[in-house]
Amino acid sequence: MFYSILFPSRELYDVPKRVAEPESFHDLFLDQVFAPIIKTKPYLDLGDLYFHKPRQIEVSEFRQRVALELDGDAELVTRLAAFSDEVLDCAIKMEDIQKLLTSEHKNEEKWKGGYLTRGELLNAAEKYVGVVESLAAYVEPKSFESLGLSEFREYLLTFSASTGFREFADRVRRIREGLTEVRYNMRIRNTTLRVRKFEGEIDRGTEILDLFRKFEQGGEKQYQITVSQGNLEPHVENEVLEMVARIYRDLFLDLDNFCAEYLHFVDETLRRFSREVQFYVLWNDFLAPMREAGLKFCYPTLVNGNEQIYVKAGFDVALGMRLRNAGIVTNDFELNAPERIIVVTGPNQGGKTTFATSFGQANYIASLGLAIPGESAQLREFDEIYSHFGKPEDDDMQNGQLRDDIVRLHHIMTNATSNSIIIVNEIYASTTLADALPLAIKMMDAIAELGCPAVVVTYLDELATHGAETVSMVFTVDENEPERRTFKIERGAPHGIAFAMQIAGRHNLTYEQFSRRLQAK
Amino acid sequence: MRANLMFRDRGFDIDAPKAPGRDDMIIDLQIQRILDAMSNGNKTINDVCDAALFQPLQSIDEISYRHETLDDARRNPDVVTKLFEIADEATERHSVKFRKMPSAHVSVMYHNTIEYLRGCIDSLQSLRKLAHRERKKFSSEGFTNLLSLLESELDDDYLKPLDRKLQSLFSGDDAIISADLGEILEGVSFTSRKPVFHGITDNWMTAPMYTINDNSTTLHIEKKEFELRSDLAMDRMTTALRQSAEFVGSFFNMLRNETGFFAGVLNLENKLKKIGMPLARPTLLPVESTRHDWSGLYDVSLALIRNAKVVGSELDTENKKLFVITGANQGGKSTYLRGMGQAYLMAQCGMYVGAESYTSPLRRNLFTHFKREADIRLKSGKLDEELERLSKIGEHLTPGCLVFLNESFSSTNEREGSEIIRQITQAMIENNIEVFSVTHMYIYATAFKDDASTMFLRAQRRDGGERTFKIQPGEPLVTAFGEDIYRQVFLGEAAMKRDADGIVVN
Repeated sequence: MFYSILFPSRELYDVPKRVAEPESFHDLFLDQVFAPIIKTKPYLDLGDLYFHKPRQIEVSEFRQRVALELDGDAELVTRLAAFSDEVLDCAIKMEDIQKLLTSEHKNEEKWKGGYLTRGELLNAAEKYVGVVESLAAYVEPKSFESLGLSEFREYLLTFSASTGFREFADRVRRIREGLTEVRYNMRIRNTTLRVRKFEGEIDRGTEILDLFRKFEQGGEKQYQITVSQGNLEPHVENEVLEMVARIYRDLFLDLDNFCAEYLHFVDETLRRFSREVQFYVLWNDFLAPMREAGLKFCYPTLVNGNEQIYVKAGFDVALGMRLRNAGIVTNDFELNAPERIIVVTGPNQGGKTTFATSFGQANYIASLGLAIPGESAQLREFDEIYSHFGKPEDDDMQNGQLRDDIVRLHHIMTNATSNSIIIVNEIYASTTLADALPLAIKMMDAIAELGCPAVVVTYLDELATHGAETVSMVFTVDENEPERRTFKIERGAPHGIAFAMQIAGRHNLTYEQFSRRLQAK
Repeated sequence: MRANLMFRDRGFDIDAPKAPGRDDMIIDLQIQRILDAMSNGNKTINDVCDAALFQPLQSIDEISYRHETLDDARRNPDVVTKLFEIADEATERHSVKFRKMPSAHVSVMYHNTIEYLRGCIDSLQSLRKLAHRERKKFSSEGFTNLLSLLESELDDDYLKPLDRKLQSLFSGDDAIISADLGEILEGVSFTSRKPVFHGITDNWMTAPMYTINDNSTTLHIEKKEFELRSDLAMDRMTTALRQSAEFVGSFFNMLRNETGFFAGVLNLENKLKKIGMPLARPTLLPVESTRHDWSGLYDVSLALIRNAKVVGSELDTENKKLFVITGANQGGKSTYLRGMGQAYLMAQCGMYVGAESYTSPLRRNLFTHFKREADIRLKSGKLDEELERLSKIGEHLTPGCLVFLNESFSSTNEREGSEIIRQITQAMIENNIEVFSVTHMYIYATAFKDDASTMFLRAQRRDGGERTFKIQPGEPLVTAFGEDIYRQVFLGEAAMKRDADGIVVN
């Protein structure tokens, strides 16, 4: 029986969830990634969906299958998103409506339970019926491969075909049809407002507009004659509706009976699904512009223990979100036992930090069961990511910074396990080389001994050759991919290239690059 | 209703994308001075001419059509100016009227809009009268079509009843308001309607009614609620009126944009005639051609700012793709580029050009990459900035484009700068892009010495160093001040006397 689209069983669903941001989020720019996503639906309080990292590969894989299936079906995602929004919106509105229709109101506030509130109920009901029916009709002929979606489909079809739901839907439709026919005239004189049926009188504005239409040039500002109106005070509007109800007596009586019968119509499982499915939908929305710009995402194979890990063509997703494909450098890495630690060295040109954040992001997002930046990947299950990102140099704070670095490192080394991931970026950057080197080597010793995967970004070349567990990676200019504006990071040592032509190359303005650009026209 | 003065088959869109190099050209070619002379302070003419100059025509047919219309305008300057003024005034009235309206109460907006529409009817009448009186003096296709259209579409059978209807809306009458039921049954689509006269018995007397209790504490609020419904109906009607104003306003706007260019050209030509500078009807060759043949080509903006005659240049070449221009500073090299660039823009928007005679091929687009004197950044940042600007140009370059380089990459040392710009230049000329390059980098200039498609030009001096500001064929000259300085410093020798071309004088 279907229960959740995020967990394969009720038992796994019921574990306590992490509701606060993990501590490495800021360093890894994951706060920039997830905060805006969560903020798109503030009233749903979606934090736990992304902050809670399941520990079981089983859960991550259950989600990967759902997500993968959604990736292949853009229309399905659009429909699920619309369904979710509408159901959640209805559920929230109905809570208010229920209160208004069941409370006693004083005479001067009797409009609170009046025709406008009933109108709101009718409106919520028809939207709910609409999305349930249209989603059911849409998934009916489909067959899903993922367990999550296929069980949800089963549930939805059974629900929407049930007699109770069918009767409800018919009632909603009949009542609305009747009310749509209504058009009335008002005549306002001083303190009196009278209401009559409409009898085909001419619209005075349209009459003038038709005479001026011949001057239209195309591209003018088009004024929308909108249906929505100003803030009508509900109690006066209710009085008007009472008069309209006297003209159209049967229509309004039907409405009264309907409201009494259907005060609670939102299904709890559909409501839970609607909140949870946002986990996939919002991530999908977030990736969409990047995918459109040609950036690649993939679902990594998840492994336990010391198997090979790698990412092909990975990148920083926070950067991808800002730059789309313009200037995004993708990087590969792989670690084969006994390799565990990647040491990135090279000039300070931007790109090293990005490599480190990409590494951390890939691991975290993979554990959620979502698509990560890259063409293909294999990653390990882990318990926690520990990161330390040095702050930019500040002359007045040299000693303070050094102390912070050491304190933070101590915290990491006491908490991390052989199952953690450690990311250290430019530690000891603000101290002298004589200070930094011995301290950094001590750190390398400790990380090596712990035995967990790590990335160390540093200006200290000596760390790159620490031991068999270290892999040295550096910037290199990739002559074959001149469209890349910044440096790629690969295994190996940097090449010496004349500075000016290197800069010209960054702008794609060497003879070869520029010729190719011009020939492409 | 359209006036196709700028194009035979379509309207002139002043908001259409401008040539991608436009912002650079405005600065590098000093186009604003020319626009100022065209506009005489009228912002519309400025914007219209800006748009025309930077939407270069690509067909000789389109250019001929504009020449024909322009010839008509030269014969009837007063009528063209009057057409522009009526349209300009009506368009201005639109923006003045509606600029401060959003905050106004709906009834103020309603009455203002009716007032504006009635004013438009006056302007339309003036146009009709002008067209009726002057139509026969015009012979170009563009103006003849426009004036006949104005005469036939704006007759009294159309304008008079329209004005009467507007007048009756202004005074207001016994309107009723219709409404439909919205999503939550609230009233929507409040619409002001003409009541149907039912005869002696008024059916309204028996209709259900709601009366506000005079003693009610909420009397004030409820009355407001009644007004709100009337206001919403009036708002809907105002929307229809605003839309009408938008239509007629955009007609005037179209008319002023179509006529503004010709008014601007007439202004500029008058000024140049007063200074005594010649204007030539350009002969444009197909884009494949490499023929350049002109005489007395001058920098129009320089003539305007000096308000005096300036020197022109000649060129008569074919089969060249690269023009390397060297020579002393202040020798007229930038002026030379400016004159050519202005002539390119003016010719390809259908104007006459500042020259005695002018024959040149059509070009897809012009791009300028000039050294920016004002830029005082660090050297490396400046190189990046220069490269970035060039790379942006590269995004738009296609065969048949024209590029002016003016002291490009002088922000780095000569060895580096020469190599960068040489590679870029080579790539461009190999891809059928025509390049005029002003440079003082000898290594770069001489790199093309054996290239048959390169022509070398030099800023000329008379013997004795006096500048002529003429640019004529001439190979780059080497200047070797370094040797001098070495000798001065190491051997304590006195500096040798050289002229500005670097030639030892004594």
